[in-house]
Amino acid sequence: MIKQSTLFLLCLSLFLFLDPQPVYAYIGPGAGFVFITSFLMIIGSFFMVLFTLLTWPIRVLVRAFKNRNAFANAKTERVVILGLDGLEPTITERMLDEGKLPNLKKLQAQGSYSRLQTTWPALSPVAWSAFSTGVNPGKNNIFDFLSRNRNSYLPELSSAKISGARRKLSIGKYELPLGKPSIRFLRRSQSFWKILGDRGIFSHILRVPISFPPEKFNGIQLSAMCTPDLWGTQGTFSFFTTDESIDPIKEGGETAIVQKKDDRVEGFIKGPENTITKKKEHLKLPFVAKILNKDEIELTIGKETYHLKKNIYTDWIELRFKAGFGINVHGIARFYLIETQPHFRLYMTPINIDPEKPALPVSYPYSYSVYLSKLFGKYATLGLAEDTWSLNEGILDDTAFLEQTYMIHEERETQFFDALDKTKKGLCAVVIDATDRIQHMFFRTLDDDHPANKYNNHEKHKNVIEDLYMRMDDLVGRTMQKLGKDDVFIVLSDHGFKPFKRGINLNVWLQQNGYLNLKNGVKETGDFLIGVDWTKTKAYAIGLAGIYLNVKGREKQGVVKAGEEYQTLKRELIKKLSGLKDPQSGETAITEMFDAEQIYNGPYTNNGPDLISGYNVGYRISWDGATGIINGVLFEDNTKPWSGDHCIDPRLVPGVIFCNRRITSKKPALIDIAPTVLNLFGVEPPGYMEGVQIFDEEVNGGVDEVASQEVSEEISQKQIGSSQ
Amino acid sequence: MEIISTILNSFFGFLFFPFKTLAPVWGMLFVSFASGIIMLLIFKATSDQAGIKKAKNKVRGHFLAIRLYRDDLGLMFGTVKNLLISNFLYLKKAFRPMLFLMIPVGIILLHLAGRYEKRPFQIGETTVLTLRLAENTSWEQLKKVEIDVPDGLKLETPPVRIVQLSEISWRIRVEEQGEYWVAFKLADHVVKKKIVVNEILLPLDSKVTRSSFSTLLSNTDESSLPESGPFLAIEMRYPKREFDMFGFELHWLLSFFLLSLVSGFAFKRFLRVEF
Repeated sequence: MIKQSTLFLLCLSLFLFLDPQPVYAYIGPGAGFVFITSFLMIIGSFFMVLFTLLTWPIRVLVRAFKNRNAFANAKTERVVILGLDGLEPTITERMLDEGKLPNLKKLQAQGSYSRLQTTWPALSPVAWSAFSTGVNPGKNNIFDFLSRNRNSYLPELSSAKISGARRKLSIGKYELPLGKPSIRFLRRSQSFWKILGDRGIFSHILRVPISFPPEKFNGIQLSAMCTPDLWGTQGTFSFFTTDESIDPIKEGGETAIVQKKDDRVEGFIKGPENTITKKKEHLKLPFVAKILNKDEIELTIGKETYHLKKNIYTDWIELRFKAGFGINVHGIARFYLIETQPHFRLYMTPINIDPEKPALPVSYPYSYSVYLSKLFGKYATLGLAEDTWSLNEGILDDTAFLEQTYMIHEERETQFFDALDKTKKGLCAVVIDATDRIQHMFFRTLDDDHPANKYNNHEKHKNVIEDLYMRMDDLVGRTMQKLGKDDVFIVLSDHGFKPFKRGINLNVWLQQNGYLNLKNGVKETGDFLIGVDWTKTKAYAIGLAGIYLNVKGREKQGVVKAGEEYQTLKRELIKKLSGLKDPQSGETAITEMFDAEQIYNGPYTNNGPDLISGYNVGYRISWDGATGIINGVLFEDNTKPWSGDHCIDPRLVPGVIFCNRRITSKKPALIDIAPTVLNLFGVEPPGYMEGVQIFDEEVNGGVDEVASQEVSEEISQKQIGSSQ
Repeated sequence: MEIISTILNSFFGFLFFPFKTLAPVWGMLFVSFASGIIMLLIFKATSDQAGIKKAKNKVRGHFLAIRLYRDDLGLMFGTVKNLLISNFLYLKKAFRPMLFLMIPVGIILLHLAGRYEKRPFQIGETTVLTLRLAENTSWEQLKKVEIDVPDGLKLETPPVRIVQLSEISWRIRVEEQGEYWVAFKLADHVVKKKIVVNEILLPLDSKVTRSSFSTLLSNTDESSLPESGPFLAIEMRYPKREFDMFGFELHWLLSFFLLSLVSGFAFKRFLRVEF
């Protein structure tokens, strides 16, 4: 039905058309705005295409000269790698047997399935760095999420260092940077896609951890893990509430107490530090929330107003912070109204860098993040975008966290399939984070006795992990539909997953055994080992990976002499800690402590921990232990929703690998992927790479169609059976 | 209908009042800029702003893709195809507000045309005044039509009657500045037509007709001809106005188009309008 007003409008328009003079209306400003915009776009595209076409022969010649035929020795023209962070072999194998993962089963039948050896330690930044570079941390310099500053003993991000411009111009309260901030990529060695790019093979690398700042190479990259939020942290959410009695948030978020007057709540959103003022105060963006009823509010930020409903996420909302001198810093965040009564409670995700106007580069080339945003809408750019802290701190519930994670996952899938469509030849690699984050937060649902279940209801989401695996299987299936017979398809995980029930504070153990001492009068420390007497400390732990020795000449206040004393101390600690028992359960908490020198080799070995912790299943370094709090508690229950982990003895948490080619290597390892892919493209792996090829020469034979067909039929039969 | 016309005339008369005695370009500047802003607001109110933004973003995304995938000709041409499709979808999104905009733009243009298409007479100029009567008016009836020309105007010729067209024409010369009403009489029926001799910016109407939907669009204070009388229309021609835009001779329509666009683009961000 055409509305009456529309009909009137159409009649009037017709009349205006028919009357001789009003034909001018065609070229009025209204139409003009649209046609000019449209015309400019077409004209712009035309010239862009023309320029590209004109310069194309030159580029082809240059490429031909530089790379000859890039694919001349290639065994395949396209390799697709789907990384499912943390996919656990035992769960995968059980579900494969139960027929719940038909696409992975099919992939296995086409080629292979195997467990995949992870890295020491089994941590995503370490593992994916080994994946990227084909070398151990001693050569790529990534040992953990964090490294320690040898002078201050404070933790630092291991993969990137951001610092302001060196030269600044001081004008009154302002301090204007004369130059760009410096962002140093601390991962060393080179990724295999860089080597491929140098040989003229183009790659799409999406969200592979430890890719901030993005690398410059012949290809496209979207940064992932360690990309900061707008505050410069690894993800800090905000929680706005009128409830002044609320417990302070311990980690990963900030509470802002807001005032309510009648039906209005006013507050401000904390932005990044204003780097152009001397005081470096955080920028602020005021907001007003008008409470419409108990389930709805109108949120006004700047000049925009958004309608929020309880328990429903907003789209990404643009936040523009004005720094002065016309400089704006752009971010994006989603809001989630938790309640309006009795207290106003509003959650805001960490402020992600706006991919359309990135304050720091989140892709290579720079325009790629803009391209994705324009084409598919805003998306999460933060490295650890799924806000696990908000669930850990009890701000979001399980359902809200899951919803957030899958919203982000959908963005990733869209980006991946676009990249896949555009990779006609070359490499397309993506890493999916949802598998890691959901397992971290919901592993408790697999075990009724998990300590985290004392405080968290796990019944409602009992099947969340299985559902996750089936979703990933579906993603694998959709990917397979887009592949050709000769494409090589690899699905892998960097490590597995195990429950995290009990935490060990290694610093407390070191203190109790005389290896670490606090300053006089200090009974307990706060975060980051503040209060430790370094002149009387031989060993300390920071981060997740292991123990550092306080070595003379290496650490600023080192006391352990390099050489024999250092070696003796290591042996002593390994002996004492390996097989450490949990007094509560009598179980072995640490299966083995590993000497880093025995595991790593390369010029950066000295930057990592001296001992690598091999925790048993169910154990991990405690929350306090990881952040350097020393409080007398050696073992404690992990009651947080973060109930699964993989930072244990790497031998206990291998990953998985599926491939549509037969893997001939007996013990494939994550570190083998780089040389394997190089070999698939006919590129000789550099000598420093440690991994070995996991395929033999038969790799060129394509998929096993017969086996594939058999599995398809078997699956169809099962489906028919179950539907009957 | 005449009420609407009167309201619109008063409104535009009020708008142009400050510019009446100034060079015509100032009035054009003001109206064009104001129109640009009003059009922006109407566009914003009648369009799916989020949809337009999304459609434009798609176009820009494909535009960036051309650059990103410039080495792959197949991909590039595929992207160009997608770009054209997205552009079409963008135009589709903009169609509805464009329909809405045609009404006010049409009215504005009519009133601009009344002022900028023609200019008033100047002393010494002549024009042919034609009176059209109902079809099949007899020769005798035509002969009975009388014309009353006020002082300041001078009849230069006797009436020329064309019975087949039922019309009579006179040539008139203007001799003094002013606004004159020329009256036509047939029996008891009297109708009038205004003739303006001046140098200021005024709305001019070359033709007066019986009342119809189109009188809604009339931009002068001249009344339409009575429905029941013998007269159908009175017509004459004002001289064409040469529009001078700070030394450049531009058609007034083009000037309006450009100036309103400039205004639209200038205030776009301020008014937060996506187009």
